[in-house]
Amino acid sequence: MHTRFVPVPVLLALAIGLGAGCSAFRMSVEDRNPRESNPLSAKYDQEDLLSLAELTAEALLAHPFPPAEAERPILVEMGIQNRTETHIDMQALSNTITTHMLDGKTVQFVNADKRDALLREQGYQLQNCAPETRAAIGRQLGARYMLTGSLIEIERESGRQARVSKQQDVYYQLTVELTDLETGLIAVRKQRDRLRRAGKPLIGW
Amino acid sequence: VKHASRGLNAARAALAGRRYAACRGCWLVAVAAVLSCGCAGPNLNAARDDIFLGRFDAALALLEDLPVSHPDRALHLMERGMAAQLSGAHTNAVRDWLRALDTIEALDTYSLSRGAASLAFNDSVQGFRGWPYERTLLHAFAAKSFLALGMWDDAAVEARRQIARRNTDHLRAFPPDPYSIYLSGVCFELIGDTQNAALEYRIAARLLPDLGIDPATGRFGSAVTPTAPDGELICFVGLGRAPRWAPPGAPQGRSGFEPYVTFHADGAPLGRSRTFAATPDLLAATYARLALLKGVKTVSRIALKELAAQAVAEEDRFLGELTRLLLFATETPDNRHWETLPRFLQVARVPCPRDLTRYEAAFHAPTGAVLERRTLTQPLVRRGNLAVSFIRDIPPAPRAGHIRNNL
Repeated sequence: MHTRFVPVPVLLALAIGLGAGCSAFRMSVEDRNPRESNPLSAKYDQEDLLSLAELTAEALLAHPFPPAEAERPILVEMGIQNRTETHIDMQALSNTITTHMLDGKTVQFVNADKRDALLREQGYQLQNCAPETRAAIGRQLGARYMLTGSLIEIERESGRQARVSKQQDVYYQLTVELTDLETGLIAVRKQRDRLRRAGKPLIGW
Repeated sequence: VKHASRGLNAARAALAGRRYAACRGCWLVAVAAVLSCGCAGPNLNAARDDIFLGRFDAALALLEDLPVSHPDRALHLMERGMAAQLSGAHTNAVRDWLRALDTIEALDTYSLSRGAASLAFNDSVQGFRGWPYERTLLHAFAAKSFLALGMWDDAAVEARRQIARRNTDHLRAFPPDPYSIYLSGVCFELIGDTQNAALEYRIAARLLPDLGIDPATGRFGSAVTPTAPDGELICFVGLGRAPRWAPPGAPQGRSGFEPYVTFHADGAPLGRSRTFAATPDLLAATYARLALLKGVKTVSRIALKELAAQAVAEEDRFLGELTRLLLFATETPDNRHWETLPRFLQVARVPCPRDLTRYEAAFHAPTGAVLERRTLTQPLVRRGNLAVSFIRDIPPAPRAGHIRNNL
């Protein structure tokens, strides 16, 4: 009778499996810096919200804006249009931009509640009203400038070919502009963008 | 000679052992096949029946607990979204449909385990991704609920996603769906993107030359007037029930002799709906496109099953026949469909008073006889001079006449 030994590779695989299993099956929680966490997909995420908003606000205020003669002009935020293929909280993007601009202490913003109340009073919602209505509402609120904008997305994927993964490029461009409500002219317009590439496996277990 | 004889006996024993192992393996496969081959489930079918009887709350209750990793998860979400939309819970409808789209997108990565299982059993073990036209309509129906919520930008997001999906399907030669294309045009028109709206209207006009759609404005039928109408009502109409399967070569869809809906406001006639797409046509065209692919896979699977049954029969004829019976009992076609879709997908674009807050809809049989009249105040949303609504011929509450019709 001879003794049968379990092969070393099997023991090794078992040890690795058990070792990895301990951490894999345990819940882990840790704080991460939202600006430094690795992206999980090529789509819009918190990193885009923060960086696009910050860069745009800085660019608007560095234009130079407001003009030297204007003392803390009043602005009204009238929404950024989502022209992407992704459902994005555009209010969060607007709020982050206005927060950064207010931090600069060179502009003032009409309270969004006051704006919405006036819109409701006149039978509108921010989403429903046409550009000319927005301008009229902005003037009624005593604002000198109106902040509007749009976010676009361009998505490209690698073509059909023999492969085991698919490359995906997702590009976002944020355009924000300030319109002078007295003259109807665009006072400042700034664009910021980003491109991210992701690989997606076509075959999995 | 003695050593050779011993070696031969050992080889025979080893071969017998392997045959036994193979036989046991085939048996395990056969039993697993029978155990693993589920179906859409009684809840899903009962929920569908409830939806067509207008019992939306009952349907939603049946579909409340979704299977977590079931291959039909997307199908459950699609049917639940439909129940939610018909009951007027548009937020829940878009939530379910967006989750269904995420589930379908996750299936873009081909699962080797499920792929192998589908070769051994049948195609139902693979995750339900929806047929190409169903995936397009998923975006279209989600866009309608966003419109009902007045979320124009989000409706346009669904229109863009639908176009992206359509372009992929177009490359694979699947049939286009003019209803979804026109709906995208409306979504773009509502956000003021008239150029993209015109592009969509142009494609719809090319696919449906008999309707005379104006590519620039999207108007057709009674909406085509020498001067721009004061206001316009765009109503998306769903009539009938999508077929459960496609009878070969016999689509019973768009023929010019379909039921329709006429619209009135304050007693004045506004116009009627026109058929843009019919699910039997889309289903038949999709089946035809996939027939060769499915045929090759089915033949390969049957050959594999026969080989497995023969391997067992070499050891034991009775067990072999039993294996064959079990394996072929699981050989069923994959007939999973989004069954609560309408049979006829129609659109009405009619002139109306600018301050329209309610309208009357009369459901007509193909002969013109009025089957039912309804007054609607919602969903009815307006942006500028465009009012948007949608309607389905499913009764909002069970009534004897409707129950009889649906049975």
